[in-house]
Amino acid sequence: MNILLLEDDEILAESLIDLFEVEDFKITHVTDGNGVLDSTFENSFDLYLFDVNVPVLNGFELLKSLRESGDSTPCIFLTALSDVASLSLGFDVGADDYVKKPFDFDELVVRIKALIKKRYNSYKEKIRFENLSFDLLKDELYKDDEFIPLPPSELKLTKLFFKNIAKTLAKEYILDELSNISDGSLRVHINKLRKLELPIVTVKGVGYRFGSS
Amino acid sequence: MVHHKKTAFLKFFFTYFISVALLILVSGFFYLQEMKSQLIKSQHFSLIEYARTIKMGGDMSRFSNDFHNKLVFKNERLDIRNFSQVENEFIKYIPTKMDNRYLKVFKSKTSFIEAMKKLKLKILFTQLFLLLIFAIISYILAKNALKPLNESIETLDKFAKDLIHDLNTPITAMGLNIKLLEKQECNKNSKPFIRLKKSINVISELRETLTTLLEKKTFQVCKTDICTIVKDVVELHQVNYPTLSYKVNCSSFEVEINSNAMKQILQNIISNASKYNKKNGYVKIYSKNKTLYIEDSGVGIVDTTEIFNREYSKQNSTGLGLDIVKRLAQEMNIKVEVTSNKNGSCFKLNF
Repeated sequence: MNILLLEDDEILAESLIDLFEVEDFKITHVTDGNGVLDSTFENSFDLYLFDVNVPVLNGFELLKSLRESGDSTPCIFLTALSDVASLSLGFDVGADDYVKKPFDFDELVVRIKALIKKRYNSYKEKIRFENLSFDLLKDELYKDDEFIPLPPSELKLTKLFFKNIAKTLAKEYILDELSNISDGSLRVHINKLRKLELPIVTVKGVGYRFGSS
Repeated sequence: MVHHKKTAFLKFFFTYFISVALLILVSGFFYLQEMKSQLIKSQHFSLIEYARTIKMGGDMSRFSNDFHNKLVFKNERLDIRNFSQVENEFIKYIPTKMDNRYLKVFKSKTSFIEAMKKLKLKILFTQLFLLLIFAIISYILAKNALKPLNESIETLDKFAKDLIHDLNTPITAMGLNIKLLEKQECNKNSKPFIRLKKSINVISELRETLTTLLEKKTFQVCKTDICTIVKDVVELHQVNYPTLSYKVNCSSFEVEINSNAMKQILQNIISNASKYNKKNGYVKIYSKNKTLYIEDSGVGIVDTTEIFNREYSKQNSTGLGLDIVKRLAQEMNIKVEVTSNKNGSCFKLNF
């Protein structure tokens, strides 16, 4: 799982990264608002962990502008602001959770996992579909409980399909989610996944669908 | 801080207002006396005028029915300034040309009483008006005089708040790193590590208490069942002091409190009761007549009047705990009493 961590306190950030490593979460760490804008432009993340009082753009403004630009990645604020007004502002700008410092790390992990599962409309950490299963937290695909390594673009595509089982996805939407790859390369990736026996159906004139209904 | 502000304000207000009010009342009293004697003098004068008109012969119609007269014998000589009053009349003797005969003139008191009544009312209203004006002036003065004081208190408060706020991040980092170290097998039972962990716990507890204390301004009180808080706190201590027996006898006890602050108070008292207890001792918590009792079988407190002072501290403690208890209790109007002997202490929280 890819997490973007915005935290200007070097020591706290390093400690968090070390702890997340144990949990097998991949962390991208930035220290200010510009860093967030740069990295969200280059990559897509599964979760944002934002501190509020950071240089350039504060966490609230940052999330507000991200949400306005159509980014719906789950976001948790990690902040020392404990008053109700800040909490309410945090949720107003589109936060999914609000954790007050000092927090317990285990609690944070529980909250993160819950958010991710909700994102996939699942109660479990592994989503099963026929003989396939996808681990939400580790981003790994298994077939008959056997790990199948995937290159990045195909992994993203698989993730997208597991999020939307038995739903038709418009081609434009898929292309957009995959950071604007070309039409042709999408077809190549889909074909590769089909070879791995992922049940992907082409919906003519619209897009693709994972699993028939 | 709200509590102190109120007392300072009231003290200033009343000192100033009462002294001014005293001045107004005393001067009002003397003014009344002065006016009364003037009124009497004018009565006296009107009697002389009446007598003179009788003697000289003049227009008697000027004088109303209030006046009447008669001739009397008097053997002794009367002072010309004589003037006296009986129940409802003023009386004056005026000498005549005949020996030992005096003209006794009377005037009814009705008009005098009427005038006095008017005078009293006038003075009363003037005084009330003055008192009101000075009450307003005292209020404004007290407000202005305490303004710089309040401002400096607020600055200090804000400073303390910012300071504690800035502690949040490093405390979080400390907690996270302790967790990291804990994951390494070699650290788990190392003494320095355990000591470090305990110290960090103390710091975060202090931070928590200070936060509650500084939030006093925005304190929200609501009817809460104290028993649930008691049980929560006791549960926490039971883990840390497995040899002590905790007896809670509390079913339903609802009072107007802030549950966070109440938790801090109980936390501090019960933690002391546990820390300074005997081996296999007990801590009893029960409620009776709107009072919560926390009794322990501890070593006892030598001087119970000293313990709420900031300076009082025992081994292994910051001395902050009971000071905080005092402040929080004061804010929620809870009376704290302590009794203690060699066999233990008892804290009474009176709601």
